[in-house]
Amino acid sequence: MKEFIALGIVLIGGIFMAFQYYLHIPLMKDLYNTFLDWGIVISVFALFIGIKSLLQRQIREIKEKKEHLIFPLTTIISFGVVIILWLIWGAKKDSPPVNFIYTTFQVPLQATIFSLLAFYITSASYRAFRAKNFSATILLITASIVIIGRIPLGDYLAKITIINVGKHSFSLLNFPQWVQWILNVPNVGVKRAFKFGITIGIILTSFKIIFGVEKNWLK
Amino acid sequence: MKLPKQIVYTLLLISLIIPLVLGISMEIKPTLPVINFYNALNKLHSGNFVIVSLSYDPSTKAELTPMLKTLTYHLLKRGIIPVFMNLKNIAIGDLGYKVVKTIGEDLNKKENKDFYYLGYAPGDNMAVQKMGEDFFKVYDHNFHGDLLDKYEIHDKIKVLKDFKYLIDISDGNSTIDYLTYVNTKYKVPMIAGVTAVMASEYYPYIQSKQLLGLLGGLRGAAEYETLLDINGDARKGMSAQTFAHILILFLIILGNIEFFYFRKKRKNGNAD
Amino acid sequence: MLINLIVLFLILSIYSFLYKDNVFFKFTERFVVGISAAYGFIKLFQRGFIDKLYIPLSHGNLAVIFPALLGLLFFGTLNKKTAFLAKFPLAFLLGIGAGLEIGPRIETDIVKQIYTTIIYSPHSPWFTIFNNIIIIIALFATMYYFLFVLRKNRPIDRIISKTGIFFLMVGFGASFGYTIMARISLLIEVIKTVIHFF
Repeated sequence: MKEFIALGIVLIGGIFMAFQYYLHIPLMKDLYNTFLDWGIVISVFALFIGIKSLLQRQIREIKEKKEHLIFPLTTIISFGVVIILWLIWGAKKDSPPVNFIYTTFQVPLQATIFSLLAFYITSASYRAFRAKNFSATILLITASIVIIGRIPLGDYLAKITIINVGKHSFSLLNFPQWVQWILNVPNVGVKRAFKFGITIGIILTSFKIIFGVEKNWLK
Repeated sequence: MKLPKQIVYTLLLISLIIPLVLGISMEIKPTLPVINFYNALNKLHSGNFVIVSLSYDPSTKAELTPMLKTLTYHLLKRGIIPVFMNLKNIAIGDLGYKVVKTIGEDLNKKENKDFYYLGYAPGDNMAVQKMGEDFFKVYDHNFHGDLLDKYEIHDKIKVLKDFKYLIDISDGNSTIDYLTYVNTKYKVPMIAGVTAVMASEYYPYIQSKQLLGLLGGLRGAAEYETLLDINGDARKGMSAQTFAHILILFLIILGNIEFFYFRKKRKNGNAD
Repeated sequence: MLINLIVLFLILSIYSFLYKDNVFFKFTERFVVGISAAYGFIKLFQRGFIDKLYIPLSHGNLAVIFPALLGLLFFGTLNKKTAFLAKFPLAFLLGIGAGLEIGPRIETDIVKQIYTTIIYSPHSPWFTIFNNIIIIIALFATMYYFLFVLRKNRPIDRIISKTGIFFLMVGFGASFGYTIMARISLLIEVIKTVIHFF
């Protein structure tokens, strides 16, 4: 019964929203607006569930692995301290200490964690980027053209290798233009093929969810 | 013999630190998608409203904040009224506000008159579509909680279609969402600034003119700065980028030389 | 100054991961997770609960009561016995999400993309026509490579598949080149932050 009701909600909501795109009936428009309003309110609660799961995980870690107590505790304490600092200034208002923590710690440290990738990609370029066969060679050549063509050196090389043939002049090493051609022509063909595949996948999954074929979310 | 990873990491750091400390600047030639981005905004008149979505978080601010700075400067300088929002990412709110406010103050522009900063609203794609039907149902007040009905925006804007452009500054798939729900469904023209990782994904939309202009990564931001004749963060960063790219090319070549050398040696060894 | 030193220490703790995973890195990582989640929670509370629920209700707008009650069911997950309650609001979000996707997505990513691929002005210059032909070959060969994975017996299949691989590698190469660029930019920003400290 529970499953039946949930699948019924998906079916009705899904079919209605799919049809309203093509049918312009005033009553449908009103209902579409109401559903959007409801969806926005419900999504607020859904996002809180994410934060709840994060904290639950830390608590589970504390219960299970006592030797690494410091790490889940760090998350919980830092979370708690920021929340307390916020509440002291009043829930509705911006809290200066929270803004300070955000600007001083969160912003640079998030950027730093992500920047670790720069080291890995440099190391990977040296260790794994080999012209082992035809396909790998094509990949390597294209990537190298992009690497040169997107920096000022590419512009400089294009400038110094200009030659004149009759009335026309062209550059022998016009990396920036080669990059633009790669992006505008073969890249467009390939990425468009991906888009078709991904979109057909999304549409089919949407239909599967609406008609109750895909039921993993119910488990 | 292979270079140890510690040496590779140190070389990378040196290649970046030297140009940044010395402040080397280099000439950058703008490419067509960036010129189109620039021209699209130049077609607008003073007093026109555009909506700017900050769809990124601090982890990718390196590439996107220079774009946001130049974009804000460009719009405010031309008297175009930008309305900033961050529907897609919560974490950019205060960072984005700081950037916009600083540039607004530098140009003597007033918040809630010459530009608006609305901040985060929940609902993601549902909120996007709701804005297409009734903008103020999603945002009835600004970043500080002041109601918008006392400002000019309330008279000029009713739905998303009233904006001349939606400009997405994004580090993920949000531009595709906006293309789907804002451009296709509510017919708002779009331009975007995206991270270099995502840039190549958007070229099919440039060809189909769904996206009228694109800034791709730090280079895109640097080209945009060049068009506006600003020596900003992106142009300064491009010199470091150049040295790092040269190092990476050198490492790729070195890696391949080693590979072919050892492969030849192995083959010869087998033949013996 | 002291704050700068603390941030610098935390930045170095993150980079210590390059050598190997260690206590300093783990501590900093968990610290960042904690403060980021708290910031997200605060904004969500202010922009979600206060703006979308508390203020409308305090103004007598009762239309938010039904979705709010439905949303509250998400908290059924706090207890195993009531966990199924969370499926109802989830069903609503999934249903309308899936329904909303279909129409505009087909138009954006399929109809408009096919239209641009096949329609172009007959007065276009020769290189535009040449480029369009290459786009069509790349598109067709890539799709063929993915869609007909098993049928690769005939020579024509192999030729088309090989062409598909060729274009795929060009596409991946372009993405890879751009990815290198993006990652380096991230590091430049951190170095600039550190230089700024001194």
